Amino acid sequence: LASITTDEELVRSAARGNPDALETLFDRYHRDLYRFFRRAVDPADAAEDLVQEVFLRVWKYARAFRPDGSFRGWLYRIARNAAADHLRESSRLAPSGPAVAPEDIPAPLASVGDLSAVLAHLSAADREVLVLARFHGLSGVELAAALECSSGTARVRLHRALARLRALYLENPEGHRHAMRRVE
Amino acid sequence: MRCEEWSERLAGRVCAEPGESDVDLERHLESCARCRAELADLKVSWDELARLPEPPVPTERMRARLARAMADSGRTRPNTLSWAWVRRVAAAALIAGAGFLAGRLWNAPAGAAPPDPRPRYLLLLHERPGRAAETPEQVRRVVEEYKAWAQRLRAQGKLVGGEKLSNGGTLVSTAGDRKIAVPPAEIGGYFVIRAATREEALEIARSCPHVGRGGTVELRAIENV
Repeated sequence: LASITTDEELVRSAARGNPDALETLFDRYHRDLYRFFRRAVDPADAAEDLVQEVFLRVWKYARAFRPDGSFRGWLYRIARNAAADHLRESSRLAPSGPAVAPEDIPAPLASVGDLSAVLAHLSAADREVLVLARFHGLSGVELAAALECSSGTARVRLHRALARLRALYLENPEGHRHAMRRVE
Repeated sequence: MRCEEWSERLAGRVCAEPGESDVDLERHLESCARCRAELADLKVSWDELARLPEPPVPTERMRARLARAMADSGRTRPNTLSWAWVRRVAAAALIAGAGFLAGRLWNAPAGAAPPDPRPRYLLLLHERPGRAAETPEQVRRVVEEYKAWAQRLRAQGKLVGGEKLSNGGTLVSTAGDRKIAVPPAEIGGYFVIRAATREEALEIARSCPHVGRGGTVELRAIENV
């Protein structure tokens, strides 16, 4: 695979049935996907299953990848869909599924000085867009592809998520002190 | 335009890539203290996010699971190609298991490890001249890609060692010391491998992610003197 360098070339090679191309994509992206699922998706312990599911879908749908599209945007769109399917499946299997959409239920806020707790307190939709932009460095175009919306909508979603994070984090005295100590 | 409308563009400003700029927004920020304050607040939260620890990743377990799932799907799709990868994972697991057992035997007090007869090779990773500066996130991604490659070699019993080198350095000679220009660093890292033949060593050098990134790998046989 030495002559194959870009993600787009690799996914085309996978579409022709080359498992080595899929393995190289696995090498490049399994960590990011695992961390995305751990940080942005409930339940976090499904992360390993979901990473596997994403690569099986990449293998299955590689032919559907458009050469002019962004690979990372496409990959994270598959990841979001896999997570949504998983969530539907697990709530169907649960004795009584939640009556409201899971993204409406905030996680309990354990400690306000702890940003990871604040992040967990956000809705799943806010967490998702923040994690994709902050930890995975998705550009505006990639973010729009992953979220299946326009760049403008992606930008507004990111802004609102960041504003809510700031409100939860900085408007609490403890969080603010914590952040200011860092800044100093 | 009201401040509420400008404010929706502030997140874009916070996470903008170098080189991107929103000229209208910059002009508004110069004249609006309220938006400047909001921007500063958003930036604090954004910067703080980067400090969250990275969860550890169970790479080898996930690789093995995916290989098994691929093999299973192969049974339902007989037209798919050779399962070199699946075989390789299975072989690596076998070698790792054998290596563990062998290591235990060799480390037993009664005997020393028999020398490995395969020649060693040095892979010197030359950086591409004029390489663009990378963000810490890009560097982390690259390092992890190299690590995964090295782990695979190790599982196959072909890796002796390797390290990433920091930028710069000093050339020492009788003519005096000379600093290596930064950037570009001349050599970004090295690996020492074992291979039965030169062809196998070349094959390993070509599979190094460094080549895919536009760098050059210099392959040198190590002489036993």
